[in-house]
Amino acid sequence: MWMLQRNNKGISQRVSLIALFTALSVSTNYLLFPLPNVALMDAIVFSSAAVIDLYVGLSVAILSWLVYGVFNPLGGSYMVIFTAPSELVYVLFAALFRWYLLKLKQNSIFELVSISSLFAFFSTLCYDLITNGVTGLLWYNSIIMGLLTMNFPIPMGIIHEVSNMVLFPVILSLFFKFYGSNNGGENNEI
Amino acid sequence: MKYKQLSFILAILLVLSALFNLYQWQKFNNLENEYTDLLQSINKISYKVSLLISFGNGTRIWFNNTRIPIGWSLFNLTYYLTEGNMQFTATQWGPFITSILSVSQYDNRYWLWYYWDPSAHEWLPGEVGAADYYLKDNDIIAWCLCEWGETP
Repeated sequence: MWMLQRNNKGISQRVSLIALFTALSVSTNYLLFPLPNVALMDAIVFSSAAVIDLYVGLSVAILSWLVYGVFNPLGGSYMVIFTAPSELVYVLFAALFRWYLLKLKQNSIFELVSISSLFAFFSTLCYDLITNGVTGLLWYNSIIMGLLTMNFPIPMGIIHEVSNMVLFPVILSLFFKFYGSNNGGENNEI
Repeated sequence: MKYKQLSFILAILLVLSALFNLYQWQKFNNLENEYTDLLQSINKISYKVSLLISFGNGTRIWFNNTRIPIGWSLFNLTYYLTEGNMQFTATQWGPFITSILSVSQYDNRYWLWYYWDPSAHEWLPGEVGAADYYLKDNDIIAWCLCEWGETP
């Protein structure tokens, strides 16, 4: 499958891109910490997987959470073991996004924005369901309780989804503009 | 070329993000210093005390680490924490408290006050009236609806 094809050319360039994406992701997380559930990390992980390739996205997702989960403003927690893999949801959706873009013959900016917003919503919803379900199981012994607290008393889940729906198209457009268009696997060559 | 362009943009965004983070960190540091200074100033003009109200039936309410102005008496503290919900009668020895939080003395049970002696590890009865006892820093005081000789 083209999504899993890896081009061995430019390994060092790929590694440097992973480092840059991870650093940017972690740095912006600390910057946006005062805004609960608003972060660029998800958009950067998604974009790195969508624009470069799946392996870059996977690396950025895991490395970002390993750093941010340990050196967290609220204190490090063992929960990073569960939140780090959950970030891979965005990589999965990025792979689907790349596949979907291939299906479209020509795509305008409007199509790109609306499709990426849609992917942002569903990927964030999946991520929130997984992480809140696991949190509910660990803290309340009940997945349902964890899912209930997702949007009650504070609609943190909704804030997360809406913010990602706005941020994903912005970040994606920026990276596509400077890196390349949506010619999927054929653009693996850095 | 595409890699270079993307790397360049990422590097610029990273530098900008790091600069903002540095600015936020500096602001945080300043606020932390100001908070420490403010706390030191407050400590010079106030005391921290704790008050227990024991109703004699197992019901106890703690008011821990209450900050009060220097010079307050136990009477002031009780009035403040109960929001005025207390009654007293004037005597030649000062106000005698008869009710706290709408619970009045009855039978042989009166509102008596005690202080915690940390060296003896026990409650000792107050030796003066509530209005004549001026609180000190870290005092632990108790009001008890008790019989004479009983402790909280």
